[in-house]
Amino acid sequence: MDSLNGHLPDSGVKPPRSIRRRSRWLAAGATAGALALVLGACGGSTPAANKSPSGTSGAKPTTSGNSGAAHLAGLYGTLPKVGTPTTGGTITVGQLKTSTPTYIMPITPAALASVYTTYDFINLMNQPIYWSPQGATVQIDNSLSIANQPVYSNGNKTVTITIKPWKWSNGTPVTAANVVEFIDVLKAAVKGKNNAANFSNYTPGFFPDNVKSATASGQTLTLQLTKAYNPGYFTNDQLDLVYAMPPQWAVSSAGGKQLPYTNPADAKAIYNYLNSQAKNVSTFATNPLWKISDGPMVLQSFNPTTGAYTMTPNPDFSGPQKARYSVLSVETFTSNQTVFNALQAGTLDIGPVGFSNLPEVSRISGSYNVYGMPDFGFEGMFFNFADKTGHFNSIISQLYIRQALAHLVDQAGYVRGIFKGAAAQGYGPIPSLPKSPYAPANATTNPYPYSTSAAASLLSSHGWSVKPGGQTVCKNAGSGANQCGAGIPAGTPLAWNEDYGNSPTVLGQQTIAFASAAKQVGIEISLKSNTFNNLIAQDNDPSAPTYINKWAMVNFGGFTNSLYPTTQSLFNLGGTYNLGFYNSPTANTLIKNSVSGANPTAVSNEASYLTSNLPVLFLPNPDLIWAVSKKVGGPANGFLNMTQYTWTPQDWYLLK
Amino acid sequence: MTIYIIKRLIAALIVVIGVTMITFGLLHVIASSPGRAVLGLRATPQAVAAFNSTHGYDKPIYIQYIRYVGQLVQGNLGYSYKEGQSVAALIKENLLRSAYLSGAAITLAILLSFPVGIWQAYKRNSISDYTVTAVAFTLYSMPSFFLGLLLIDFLALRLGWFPVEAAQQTNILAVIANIHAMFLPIITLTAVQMAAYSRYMRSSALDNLAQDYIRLARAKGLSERAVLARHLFRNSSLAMITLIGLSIPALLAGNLITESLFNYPGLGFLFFTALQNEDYPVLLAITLMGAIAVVIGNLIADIAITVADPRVRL
Repeated sequence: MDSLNGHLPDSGVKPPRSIRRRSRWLAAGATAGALALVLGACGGSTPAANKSPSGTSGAKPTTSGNSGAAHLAGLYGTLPKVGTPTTGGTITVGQLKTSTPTYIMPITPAALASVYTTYDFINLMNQPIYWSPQGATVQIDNSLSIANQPVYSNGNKTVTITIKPWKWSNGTPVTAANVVEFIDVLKAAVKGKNNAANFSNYTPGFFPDNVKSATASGQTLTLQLTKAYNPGYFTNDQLDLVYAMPPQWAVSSAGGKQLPYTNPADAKAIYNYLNSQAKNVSTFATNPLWKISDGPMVLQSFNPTTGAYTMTPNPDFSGPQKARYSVLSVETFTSNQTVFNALQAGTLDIGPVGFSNLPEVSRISGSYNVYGMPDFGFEGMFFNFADKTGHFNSIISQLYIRQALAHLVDQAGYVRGIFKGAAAQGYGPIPSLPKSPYAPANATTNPYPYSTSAAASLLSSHGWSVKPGGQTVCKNAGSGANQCGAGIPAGTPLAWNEDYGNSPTVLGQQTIAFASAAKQVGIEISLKSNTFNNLIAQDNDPSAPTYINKWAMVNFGGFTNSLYPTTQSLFNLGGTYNLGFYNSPTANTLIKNSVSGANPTAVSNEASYLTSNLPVLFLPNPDLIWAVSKKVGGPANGFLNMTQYTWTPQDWYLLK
Repeated sequence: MTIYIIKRLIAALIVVIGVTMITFGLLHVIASSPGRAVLGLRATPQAVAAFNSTHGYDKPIYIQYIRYVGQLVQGNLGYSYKEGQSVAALIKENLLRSAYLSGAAITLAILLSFPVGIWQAYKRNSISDYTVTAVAFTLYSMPSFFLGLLLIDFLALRLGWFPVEAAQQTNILAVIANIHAMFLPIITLTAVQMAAYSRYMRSSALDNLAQDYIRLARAKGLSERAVLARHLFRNSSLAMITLIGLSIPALLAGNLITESLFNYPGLGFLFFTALQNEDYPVLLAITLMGAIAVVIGNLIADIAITVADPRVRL
C-alpha cells in the first residue's frame, strides 16, 4: 500500500515504507520558504546538476575513489569512496528540526509518525525482521534481515518464517516468540473503537487483523492468515511491518513482572505502558527499556529540546557489519540553509542538501561528495473525479482529456528548470528509478510526451472548439467517438480550479507551468496555494464531503510506494485514501490481483494499466540529495539507501 | 500609583483576553479539524473523528474557547502533538535560552548606544557624528536576518573566526559560558537595537543640550564631563525608558529570525518549527506570550518613567 510521502530533500522528512506522508517539506510553510529563498539568494551560483539527455537525473553516476562499484543509472552526483576504514571517531549527521524523532517504539502512533526519521531512529535500535531496501534497489536485503525469507503453504494462507540466530544487546537470543510478542501487543494496541490511530501503518482488515494466529517454536514463527494473499504482497507490504520485541518489554510498570502477552488483556496493559514510556522524550536515553537493541546502535543521549541525539555501536549486533566508529552524533538544524552553513564550515560529516542550495553546491564540493536519487514513489496532480462543478466529473472521467492534460506536463523541462537536474521523469505509480523488480515496460518512456499540439489535437478530435489563449468549449456534445463525452453539454468550457501546496516552491512552480501550458490550448485553470495540512484536511479528505465540489485538481506532492508497490487503498474503489474517488473496474480487479492473487507479476500489470489510464497527472520524482564528507566512506549501498529514506550507519566509517 | 497599576493590570487582562479570542479564532479558521493534520492522510475518517472528539475539536468554537481559557487559567498551555510534549514543557525548556539571548543583546545595546548617542549629540554635525549616523542608519534599515547572514558569511565561513551556529548546549550556564559561539547571534540582535537606540538617544540628548538647566550647570562652573554624565545623561535617558520597554516583546520577534538563522534552540526556534509543522497549540501559546510581553513591557515602561522622572505623576 502506498502512502503520502516526502520525496524531496528540502524536507529531510519522510515517513517510512508504509505510512509515508508527503514530507514536512510541504508543511515547512511560507515563512520557511521565504527565509530559505532569502538565504539561498545570498549564496554563489554554480550549476550543480548532472543531467542526462532523457531528463532523468544523474549523468555521472559514479562512485568515486576505490569503490569498484558499478555505474548506477539515475544517480545524481558522486557517491562517497569505499576507501580504507579506520576505527573510532565520531560521525556527525544533520537532521531538520521538523523531522526529529518523538517516539521510540516500533508501534508508532499516527500522530507521531509523520516523519520518516522517527522510523530511522527506531530501526537503529529495533530492526524490522525484514530490512529494505538494498541500497537504491527496492527489495528486501536478506543479509540485513533478522528473518529468512518466508515460506508460503496451505494455498498461501500459512506463512512459516525462520528467525536467524541474532542476539539482543543484552546477549539473549532473538526468538520467534519475540515476534509473536510484537504481533500480540500490536493487536491489542489497535483493537477497539478509536484505537486505529495507535499504529500509523494500520489499515483495518490488514496487518495485524489478517493474522489469525501467530505461534512460535524456537526460531520458527508460523502465521495463519485469514485468507490467501499474494506472497509478494504479504512479504513486502505486510511482513515489513513486523518487529521483534525483547521479553523485558512485556511489562505493565517499571520493574514489573513479565506478563503473558498472549493474553489480550495483558497485551493491552503492556502496550499502554510501553506507549506511555515511548512518547516521553525526556527519558529516551535513560529508560532501561530502550537500552535493549537488536539493531546496530544503542542510544546514549537524547536532547528533548532539540531532538539531537548520540548513539554508540551495539557490540552484540548480529548483522553482517558492526559500526566501526565510536559515536554517531545526530544534530538538529532549523533549515536546509543552516545545514548547508554547517557543511560549508565543515562541522558536519553528513547532511541533507535542499534544492534551494543546489546552485551553490560547488561551495562544498571540494570537501563533500554530493549525490542523490529519487525515492521509490510518484508525484502527481490529483483529479477529483467527484467534483460536479462545471461538469468536471464528466470531463475528467474522459481518458482523452486526461491524456491531453498529460501532454501539457513538460516533465523534461521541469527536471531541467525547476529541479536543476536533480529529479527523474515519472510516468506512473512505479517509477523506472530507483530500480525495482516491478517497474512495467511503459515506466521507461513517457507515453504522453509534452506537446501542446498533441493536446489540442486530442481535444479537437473529440468535439471541442480549441481556442489557444482563449476558452476552449465543447462544440459537439454526446458520447460518440468524436464527441465530448457523456454528461458534458455543448458550450461547457474547459475551466476548473487547482490547489497546490505553498511549500516547497517547486510544487507551485510545476503547477503554474502546467496551468500556463493548459492556457495555450484554451484550458483555464484557476490556481490557489494552501498549506499541506489544509490540503489534506479539506481538499483531499474523503471524510470531508463539504469540500467535495470545491476542488478539481490538487498538487500536494506525492506518495512513496511500499516495497510491494500496489496502489491498494489509493486507487481502488473505497480505498482509505482514494483522494479523488478514482474508480476504474479494471484497476479494481488488477489491484485485487496484486493483493490476493498468486501472479507474481500482478503488481506490474496494475502499474502498467495505471500508467496509461492516468488516475493522476504524473510528475517528475525529485531526488533526495545528501552531502557526505570526503573523510567518510563506506560501501555504496550504505549511502544509496539514504536516498530511499533509510539508514544503515553501521556501513559508514571514517577513512584513513 | 497602586490604583493606577491595578487599573493598568485590568486593562492588560482585557487586552490579553482579546488577543486569545482573536488568535484562537484565526487558528480555528486555519485548522478546523486538527485530527486530520495530526493523524495524517492515511487515518480513517473514524480515527479522525475519534481524535477530534477525544480532544474536543468537534465542539462549537465557543465551547472550545472556554475550555482553552479554562486550561490557561490552570497553567495548561496545551499539548503539542507534533513534539509529543506539553507546550508548557517546551516553553520551559526554551525560555531561558531566549531570555539570555534577548537580555544580553538588549543590555549590550543599551550600554553601547547611550554613550554613543550622547557623544554624537555633543559632537553634533561633526564628521564623526555623520559617520556614526551613517553606520546607524545602515544597521537600522537592515533586517536582522540579512545582517546575520553577512556576519555568518564573513566572520564564520570566510574568516572562520566564529562558528556558524550558536551554542547547542542544553544547560543555560554552559550556553552563557560559550561566548565564542554566542557572539554572532548576540551581535546581530545588538547591532540592530543599538542603531535604533543611539538615534533616539542622540535626538533626546540634543533636545536636552538646549535646555536651560544645562546652561545653568555650565554657568555654575561644572566640568563638561559632569554636565554630560550627571545632567545630560540622566535626563536624556528618560525618553529611552519607554522605547526599551516596548523593545522587549519586539526582541521575541527578532529572536525568531536570529535563532533560526544561527540554529539556536530557543523560543524563536520553537516558534519557527511550530510554523513549519503547523503546530497550532505551540503557535497559540507563544503568540499569547508575545501579547503578554507587550502588555508587561508597556506597564514596566510606564512605572519606570514615574520612578525616573519626578515630574510624572500617575
